[in-house]
Amino acid sequence: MIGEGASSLSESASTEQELDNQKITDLAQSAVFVANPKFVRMRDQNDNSQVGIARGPLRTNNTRLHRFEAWAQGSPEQKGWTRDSPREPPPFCAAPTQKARDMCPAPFRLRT
Amino acid sequence: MYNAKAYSAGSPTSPLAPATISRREPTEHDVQIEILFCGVCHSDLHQARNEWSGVMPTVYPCVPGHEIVGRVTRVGAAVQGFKPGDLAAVGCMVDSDRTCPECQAGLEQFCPNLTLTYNFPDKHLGGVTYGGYSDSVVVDERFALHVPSNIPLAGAAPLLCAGITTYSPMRHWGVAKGQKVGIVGLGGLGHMGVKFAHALGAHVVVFTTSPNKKDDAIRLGADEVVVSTSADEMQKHTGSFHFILDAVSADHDINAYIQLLRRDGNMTLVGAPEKPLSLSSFGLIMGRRSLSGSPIGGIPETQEMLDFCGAHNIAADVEVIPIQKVNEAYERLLRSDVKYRFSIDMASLKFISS
Repeated sequence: MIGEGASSLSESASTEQELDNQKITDLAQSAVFVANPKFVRMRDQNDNSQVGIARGPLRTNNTRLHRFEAWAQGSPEQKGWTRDSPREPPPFCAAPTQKARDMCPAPFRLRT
Repeated sequence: MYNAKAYSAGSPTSPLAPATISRREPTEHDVQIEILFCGVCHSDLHQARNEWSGVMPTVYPCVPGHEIVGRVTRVGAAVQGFKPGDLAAVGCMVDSDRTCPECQAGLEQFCPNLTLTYNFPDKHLGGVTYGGYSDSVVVDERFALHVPSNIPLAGAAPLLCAGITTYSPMRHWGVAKGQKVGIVGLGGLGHMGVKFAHALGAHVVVFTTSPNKKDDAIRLGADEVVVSTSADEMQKHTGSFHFILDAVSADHDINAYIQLLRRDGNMTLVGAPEKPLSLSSFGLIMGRRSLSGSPIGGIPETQEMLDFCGAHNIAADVEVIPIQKVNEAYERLLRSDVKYRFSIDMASLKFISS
């Protein structure tokens, strides 16, 4: 059985058929787009994905930039976050000179 | 508004000439600066002559200048970091949106809504911003920088562009003591690169096509000088550099330098040749080397650079000129006939009647 299956697969897997440019063009024209290709990943359509990138929201288009993580987790206003609030001190808060560190945003300056 | 004296270009083909421009009265967060020196950058020439019309068409009259050093004359009621009499500097940017991730990270040079010091839409007065070829400038204190008192002001001016342009990539790529750093090209940018790399403790190698620049390179802080047209000399350094700063704006073979990087070494371009460069991908692949570019630096890093200059007594090597010589300076700039930067003494502007 295994042997037969393998034989069957090998027959159809590769016949070294060449696709010329015309065939590729024909194939492309016969393709039908059924949704916005931006959102056609499996985890976006079946509504039960448990995969989240960078702890972004599940069951939605869950690719988010990591710096907006807090925003994605809800109630940002309660946390005092704005969309662009940094979550951690920007690198220059640890600059080697005091005058450069003085430019650190106030909340982070107080903590250091 | 008040009137300020300036030098402006009236068209792509006309020489810079005396002009009167409007500056805004300082608002509560603004600092008014009497400009003492302004460096001459090659960008000034490009913009005055509308040579970047494809990406940044010049609006006339154009008052160039983004290497500004001066003294604070007035401050707004909410200004905390400056008081009248302080030394202050302004570089290539005078504003940004302050809210985008780039601004929050102190990388205002990447802000999609930044305002450049000249030839950029002026949010306050309309029209475009006017640069430092002028007797004064008004700027939000966030974009004004403190100048160490121990460095000569004429030599401090070019730090605001040539200085930060070379300092920033070295900091980003972690240039440190014990590393081997190459500087390609010994001009306005390159000579600053040599000074910074030397002060950061690196072993500095200058690459030049001109053997007669050897003594100057050593004086500036280079440990070795390689004549880049000599294949034998180049071969000796294969695979040995942690970092190479390429400050050449003419067409040249970058692959010859990429071969000199060690594993994970980086070469950063700060010069901008007019034509696309040719790149052999294997030079990068074999050795996991990287090639990158870098524009100026953010405001906090620019302040850090100025403080670093104060601590290490670093300033640009300049030829001080009166503003009346600026057109001649442009012509000399085209011939690379300057060591290594022009700095305009803005006191000369006082002798021009408005």
